Amino acid sequence: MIKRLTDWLDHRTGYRDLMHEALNEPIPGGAKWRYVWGSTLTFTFFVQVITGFCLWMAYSPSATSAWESVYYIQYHMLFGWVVRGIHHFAAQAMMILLMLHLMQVVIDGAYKAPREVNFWLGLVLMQIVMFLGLTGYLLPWDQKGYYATRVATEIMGSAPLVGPYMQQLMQGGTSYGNHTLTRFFALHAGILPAMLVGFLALHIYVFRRHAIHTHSEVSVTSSKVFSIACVVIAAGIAIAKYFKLVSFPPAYAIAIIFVVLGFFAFLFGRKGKPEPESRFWPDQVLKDGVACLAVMAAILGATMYWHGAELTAPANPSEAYSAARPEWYYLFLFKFLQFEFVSQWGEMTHLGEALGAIVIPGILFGILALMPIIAYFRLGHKFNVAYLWTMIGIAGALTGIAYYEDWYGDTEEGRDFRASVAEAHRDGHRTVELAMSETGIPPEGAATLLANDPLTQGPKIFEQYCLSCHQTESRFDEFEEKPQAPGLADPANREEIFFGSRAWTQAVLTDFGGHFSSLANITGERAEAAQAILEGSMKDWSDSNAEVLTDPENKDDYKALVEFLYTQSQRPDALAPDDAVVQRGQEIFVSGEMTKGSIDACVDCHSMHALTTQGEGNLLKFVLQEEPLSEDLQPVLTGYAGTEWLKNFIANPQAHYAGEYGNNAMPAFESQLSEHDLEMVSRWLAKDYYIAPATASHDAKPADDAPPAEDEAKEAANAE
Amino acid sequence: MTDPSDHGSTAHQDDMRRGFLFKFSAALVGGLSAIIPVAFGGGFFLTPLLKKKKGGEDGDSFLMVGSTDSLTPGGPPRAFRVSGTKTDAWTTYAEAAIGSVYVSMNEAGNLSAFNATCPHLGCTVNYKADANSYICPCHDSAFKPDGERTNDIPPRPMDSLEVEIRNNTEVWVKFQNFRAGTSEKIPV
Repeated sequence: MIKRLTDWLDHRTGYRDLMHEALNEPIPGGAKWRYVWGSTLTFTFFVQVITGFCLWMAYSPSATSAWESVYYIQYHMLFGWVVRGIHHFAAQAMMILLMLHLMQVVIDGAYKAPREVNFWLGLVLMQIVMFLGLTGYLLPWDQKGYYATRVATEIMGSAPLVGPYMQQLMQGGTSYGNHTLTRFFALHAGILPAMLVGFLALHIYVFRRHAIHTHSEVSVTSSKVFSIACVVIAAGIAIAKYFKLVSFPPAYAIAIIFVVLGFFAFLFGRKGKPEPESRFWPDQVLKDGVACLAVMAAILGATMYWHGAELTAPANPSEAYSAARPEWYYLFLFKFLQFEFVSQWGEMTHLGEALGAIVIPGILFGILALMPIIAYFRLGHKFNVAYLWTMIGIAGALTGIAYYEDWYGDTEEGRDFRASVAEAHRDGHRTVELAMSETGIPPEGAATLLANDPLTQGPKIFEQYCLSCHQTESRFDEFEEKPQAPGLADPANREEIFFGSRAWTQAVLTDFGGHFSSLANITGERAEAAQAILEGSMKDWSDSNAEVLTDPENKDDYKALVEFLYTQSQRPDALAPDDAVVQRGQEIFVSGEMTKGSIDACVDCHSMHALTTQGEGNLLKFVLQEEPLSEDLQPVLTGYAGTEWLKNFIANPQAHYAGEYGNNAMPAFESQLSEHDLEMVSRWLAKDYYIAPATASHDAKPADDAPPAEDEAKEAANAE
Repeated sequence: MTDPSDHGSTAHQDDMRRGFLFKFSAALVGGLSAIIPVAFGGGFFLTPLLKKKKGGEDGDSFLMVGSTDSLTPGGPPRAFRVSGTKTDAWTTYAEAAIGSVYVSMNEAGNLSAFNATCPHLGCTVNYKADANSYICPCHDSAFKPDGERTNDIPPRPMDSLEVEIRNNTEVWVKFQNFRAGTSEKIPV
């Protein structure tokens, strides 16, 4: 029955001949592991097509939806991060396989006549794949892809004559935006894959026409030499590291890479037993299949290990990103362009950036393309092999140097790079947190989430406007001037705020002079005000009441007073206004009566509308009491260290400290900071920002998760 | 091309066995490596079916649609646009149009509300004042003002919605959409 059906189908279509033609290709000398590279490349491309079509169904190319849709893929769709991760790592696998395929072809001499055209077709394919990598890098529209790709299009723009036009065509205008994404996406998902399929078909067709190339004796020898050299180098590095002769951190990893390279060279160079001619199906297919499975396993392994591809913060042209690097396979070119002599040559030849980025790589690639012609000459093949190894050696060395400098170099650039990467990760993580919150992603896009997030923006503003006076202890030596005011917060440790904390309040109450001693460093017209603070009534209060406050018998009362003041800021860990401790604190604030002895009541000098509760259940809210605890006195402590208090204070310190009752030596910032900046920095210092619940969704874990120990600690804190 | 049957008979049998084993493992290994991306891709593609929608999304609760001032007791129904918070894949709209409803007031002052979507195939029905009935512009489904169908084109009456008057004049509707083309009223 099945036979009759297949007979019928064969009669109508001739599929058996086609299958026979496709699968029964003779392989002289038998199936070999060394022939698998082409098939693994085709397979990896197939993987890219499958995962690419899937991603296509969820991706939206526009400046306000690209990052957002990739976020949705990564954190909300079933297997989203796996599919994206496979696509990401398969692209890198393709680069490695391309290199191996090229090496095998050149070393074996498989590019020589009559296979010249096929070699060139292969080089075209290589260019297409590299261009696919470049265009794909931009699509998530995150900081990393955005800045890396901008460098690439600027390079394109540096080409002589046509450069600027090419760049504009590529970008869809003079700057990056919606049209850049639609164009890159059309290239990445449409034009380039179509070209790749076309050239791949030609490549395979021409390959079949000349049949497989059996390797030459020369390659066997050179591969063996290389193989041994690799192992010797690996052993050298490992021994040097073991005896601590070098301090290069990833020495062992590099030794392993050399061992792997040596093993590949060994596989290339294996002469093997002369075997009878075999067929593509099933002998070579089995070997190909095993190789493809190994490639797939490696891709999947990388995906699982790194938890998919990363997604840094949404692209933002106004946020610098000092870690702009191309993907690792372009890193050698990046490093090459960093050399000063390259720029000098560029100036000398009037080619500028184009010399190092386009002309020199173009010439080097041109020599590669001329290999089949060079091989016509005596020693030509030997030259080609030597040339290839030299190029790989130089590119490898440049890649290694660039990688080392970025990740391990103890230079300012290296530290900046790593800090930028850490920041991009942190911002990416934060954007995801905000996107997963109740508010979600607004139609204006996820970049606005970060732009309006006090936790992200506050420290940046603080660093710029506040830190030079309010220096944090860890950074004293960065400034020429001495600190002129107490430290409030550390922009590098942004979740801990010293200002307005319980410790801060305690210091103000019992060690006022010490706490504000840095005010003595103020010179110029504000010096008088500073002096007045240091000799003022609060200093006297602190000196005369510290003893009562710190008396062991008043321990709970002192704590209650501090809690009362802390509650006014409405920080996340503050107690409710109707808590007994806070109520007790308010009593002391008003009366000054402690368990043992008394203090001068705070209300004698300060006015405050204390916080109180209103409503019940879901409608419960905190409001200010209409009745102040005392009349019109300054400084005002209503909502002390909360968002509003801070905002008014930073805008103009005299808002709370005016007239004869108080003064402040801090300059007003209302003319320097925009309303938005003022709000960001105030809310940050008041800890008034979204805090994600500790129990994050389990199927949607950000790639750079906090270590588990920290998570547990957070959960424990929440449970309390 | 050489034919394997040229070999001796024992060798031929060996070849056959070896051949089968080879073919089987080649197909297995090749299939296995191809199935990995296809399986993950398949799951990804099927996300809309496999992943449950989170609760609390578009229209699980009452929304204010308009004022009773625009309704007269026993008068014609009035169409109100319904807008509310809507999460569309990755974007959250604070105020998005999510549908429309017909609200009418009977002589006693009680409100009734219908989702304006036709239960037949999902077009938006019109209220024709001269015929005093709802008529769908797509396939002529027709309904009486109380929502009962007057022809057999739609599979069920118009979809009634819970409606309330709050703060004296505000019309609040519990907006929901229902599957089209079925005789049962199944929320989607």
